[in-house]
Amino acid sequence: MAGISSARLSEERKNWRKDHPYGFYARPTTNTDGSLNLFVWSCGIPGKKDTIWENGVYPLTMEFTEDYPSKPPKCRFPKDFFHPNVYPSGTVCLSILNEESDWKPSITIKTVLLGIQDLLDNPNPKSPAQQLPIHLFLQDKDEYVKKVRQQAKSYPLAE
Amino acid sequence: MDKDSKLATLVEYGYDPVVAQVALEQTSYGDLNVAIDYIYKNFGEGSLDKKEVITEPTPLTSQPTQQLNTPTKPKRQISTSSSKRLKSSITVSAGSDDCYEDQEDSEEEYYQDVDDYEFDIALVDAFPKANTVIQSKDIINTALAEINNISSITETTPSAATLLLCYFQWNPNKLLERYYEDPERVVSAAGIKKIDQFFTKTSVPGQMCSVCADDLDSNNCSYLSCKHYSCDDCWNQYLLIKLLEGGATSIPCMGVKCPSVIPDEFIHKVAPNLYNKYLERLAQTYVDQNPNMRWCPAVGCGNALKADSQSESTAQCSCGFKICFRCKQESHFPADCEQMKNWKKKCEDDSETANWISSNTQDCPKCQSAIEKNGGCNHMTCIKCKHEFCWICLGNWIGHSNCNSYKKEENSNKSELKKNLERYLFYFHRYNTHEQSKKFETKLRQTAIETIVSFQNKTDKRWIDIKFVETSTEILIQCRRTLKYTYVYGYYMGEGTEKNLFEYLQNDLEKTTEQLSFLLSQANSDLKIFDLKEMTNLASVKLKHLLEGVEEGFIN
Repeated sequence: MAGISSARLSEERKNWRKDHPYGFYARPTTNTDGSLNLFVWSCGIPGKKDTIWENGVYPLTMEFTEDYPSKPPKCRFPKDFFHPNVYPSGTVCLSILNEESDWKPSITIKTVLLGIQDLLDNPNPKSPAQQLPIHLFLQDKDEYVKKVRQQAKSYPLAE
Repeated sequence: MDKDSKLATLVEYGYDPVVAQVALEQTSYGDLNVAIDYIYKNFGEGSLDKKEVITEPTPLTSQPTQQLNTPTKPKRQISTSSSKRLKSSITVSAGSDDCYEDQEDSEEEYYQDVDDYEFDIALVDAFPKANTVIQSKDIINTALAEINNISSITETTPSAATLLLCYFQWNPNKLLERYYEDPERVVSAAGIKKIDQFFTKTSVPGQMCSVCADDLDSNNCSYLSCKHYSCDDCWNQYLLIKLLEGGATSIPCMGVKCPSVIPDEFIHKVAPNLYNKYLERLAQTYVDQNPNMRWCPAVGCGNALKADSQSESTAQCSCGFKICFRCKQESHFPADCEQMKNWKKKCEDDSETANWISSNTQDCPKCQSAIEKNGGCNHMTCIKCKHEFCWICLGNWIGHSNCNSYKKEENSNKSELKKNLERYLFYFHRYNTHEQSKKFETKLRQTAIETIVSFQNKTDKRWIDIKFVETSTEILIQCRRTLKYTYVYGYYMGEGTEKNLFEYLQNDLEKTTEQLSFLLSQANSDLKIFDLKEMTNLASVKLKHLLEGVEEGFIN
């Protein structure tokens, strides 16, 4: 069923431009020849206010396949992003992004980004993806907070 | 009389060396008569003709060629009281001449003999136990019948009944019990809240497909009562993926976090092409989820087996495959599931390594660590203990001169590890050999019928006699399977008297099995029905003894 993925992604793009949550950004990347690549989006997720993640906008890449929306996009933070549910490669471990568990074709980019924002301050210790963050999160909260705040500084709000 | 001569005397009397040894040990090498009494008490009740010389069965290879060329087929006399004899003495006395007499005496008498021949044990063990075999094509109908049954009792739609059954793992009794306690709770727990309602080809103004963002019209819009609108194309693709993933029955609606489950009528209407796939998956779930049912694991057999009770541990498929209900593998008695698990793991872990180590390494003569030679020079220096030695003769390099003269290999310098590996390889090799033989002999099962038919046409032998080939094949396969797993059992068995006896019976069964196997492989060209009956009986007696021994203990 070729075409669904592109059509759906255009629709996502249209909807996002019409309305999106405050502080977020999401846009398709540009190919080297200047054309739009609908299958790779570059996004930014702001840390929620009054959490240790605030004052940072965390860059995230979303990669879609031809099977989208039957299959979920792959969401990646920069390599070695400090979070208990992010693999060392940067890939986010979240149930709604897992084809075998909670992914539904009707989940939109907005839903995904809001879901990941929520995950930032509510890590799920039951499915750890990276050793140091989960260790500090469970054993040494002070050091964990320090690391997160430090990371927030390296991804400052634009302007 | 010293110990050895006592043993020798008993062996001379015709007792098996192992049995004699055990008896002597148990009676602290006292009076010989006490030992003999012990044998009688523990290994057999009847009287043994002490003068009877028990010879080993004749080697398989020599026997047939001689007989093929003999115009009058020699008939072997067998003692019908074989089971009453000492277990250990059940060997065929084929060697002595007076056992043969002319068959030409009278054909009638021959048949008479066969008819009078009594089986010492029932052969039922070779045939299916009390379990139901559901042929692959009937599985879905069985499942649908069960669904309809629940549907009519609970007065729900078939799709709701399917969900209820899935939720209760196809246990109708539990389902009904809970359902009558609290129907509403059961219904919502199974995910069938209102889902009996769905809409196809119904347009909803102002809505678009939640998946592909296409406009919806009355030609392509379908949704469940949870109102997650989508076009039929997207439903189709979604359902296809879900069905390919294998989740047949509780496919949720496409809506974000929507718990509604898609009913089968919806699939039937929206994706008619996928309905067969759905039924296939339903049958799969039906068997998978049912604690009393198992798939037949034989290659290419899609039948399902249903045990009449959960206590049943083995079941046999109509294709002949026998499975262990607990671990879903081939029936592996006398080894238990736990042993099989360890054994399989060991095979996976060790076989490769073991083969490699035994073919590529030698042990350092000083510290016994395994060493691989990675260069051409035979002057070795052990990396661990710095011992210098010659790779060829394993002698000390210092003062090493000629190692080209042959010396008998002494095993004493082999490490514990290597000995263990050798022990494992010993068992593994035999386990594997029986497995291979069984594979070949399973093919006999298919040819057995052909043999029967061809023989009935060719000879005047009676149907009932020739039909016996089938029974023999079953017994043979059963012996092979058991033998295969006795090596797993033996591997995990502690050393001692028990093991000696076990190995004795194992060896005994092995010999008979080989003979039976030989007779059957010849059946196509030269069917010796009487020999076959005798050997089959012998094999099943020996099999029974072995299995009884395992179950009840070999001593007493």
